[in-house]
Amino acid sequence: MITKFGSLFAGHVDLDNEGLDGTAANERWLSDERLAEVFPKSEAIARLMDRTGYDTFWLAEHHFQREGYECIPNILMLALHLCHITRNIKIGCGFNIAPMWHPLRMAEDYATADWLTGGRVIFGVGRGYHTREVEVFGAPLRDQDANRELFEEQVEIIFKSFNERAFSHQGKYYTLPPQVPYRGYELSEITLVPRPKTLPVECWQPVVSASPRALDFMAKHGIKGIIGGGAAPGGANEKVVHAFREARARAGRETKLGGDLCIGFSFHIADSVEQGIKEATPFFEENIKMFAPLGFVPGLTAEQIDAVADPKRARQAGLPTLRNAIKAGTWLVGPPELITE
Amino acid sequence: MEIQHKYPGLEVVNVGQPVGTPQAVILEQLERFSTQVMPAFQ
Repeated sequence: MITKFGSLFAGHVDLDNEGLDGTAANERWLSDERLAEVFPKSEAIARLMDRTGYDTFWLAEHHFQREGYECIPNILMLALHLCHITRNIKIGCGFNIAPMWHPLRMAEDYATADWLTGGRVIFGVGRGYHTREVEVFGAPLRDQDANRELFEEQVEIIFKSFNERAFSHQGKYYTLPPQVPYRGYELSEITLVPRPKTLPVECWQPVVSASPRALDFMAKHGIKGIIGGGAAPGGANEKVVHAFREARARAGRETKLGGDLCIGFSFHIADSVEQGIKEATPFFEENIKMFAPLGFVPGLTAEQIDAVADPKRARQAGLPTLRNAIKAGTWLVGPPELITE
Repeated sequence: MEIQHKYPGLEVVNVGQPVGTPQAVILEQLERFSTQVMPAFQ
């Protein structure tokens, strides 16, 4: 039974000239002042969600996005601030990208936020998907196997540091602690200071590849999953939901179908479906411009992806429409009673 | 409601607007969802 509603804000500022005919994504280069508008925008959303009964306001970590699409580099820092200007709403890390962090730095920062907010920050980890972000920080992304291997070792370390009063770790990427002398003894274990106030730590991760390896890793650590793109009957996500439960069962945890998962939808409430399509299409199209070249719009040809970057050709490229997305169940558009159904 | 019947273990749903949606629209839509849709689930 659905009891909690959240919303994810990846950190875009208000943009001019949107849509397929508008400014090409790579032509956007906003001023520092415009990019920093993400902070008052985040405050306004958090305050509204706090007042209106939402459970969690999710933020996304991204870097170097001069285009204005995803402009929050440090979501733990912003989460701390938002908790201090609101009363009840939780702030979710959706997600901290582990390969761009030292795992112990992430663990420390989360634990600090957990203490300072009384448990209102929700932990979340991801592997990343922007080469401009992950590889700039010196971690692999184009080599997906290396990225996953690094990520899994980092998460192992983070959970050890959360759950064990003192710990050590020896892996491919990290030896923690290094064997060094310290105040008259040889270092063999370390303690995270502070450890989180709230143990065990609730952790969320995006379900993207949904490979057995990925789902088994999540099940092993009890990591909950967030799935974007709705829940259309017979759609790809239906298989993912079943695979997620099967992985949980392999780890000895029986759940009802959909348990430990969060499913995400885009929505636009309007007096009619047609009115909703008219109002939301520019935002839908801007989203295509942002994500198609990153491979997140399935089914596009190379020619279509190329055309997305050209406002003169994009409209004629046969790109997906909001009407397609409604039919596929990834968007809910129309009167509130239709969305409720 | 349909998704609730389909996935009886599902307790958490995220709703929102995509990259590109102006602040005023996000606020209006989240407010409407909270008053016009969420009560049906309580």
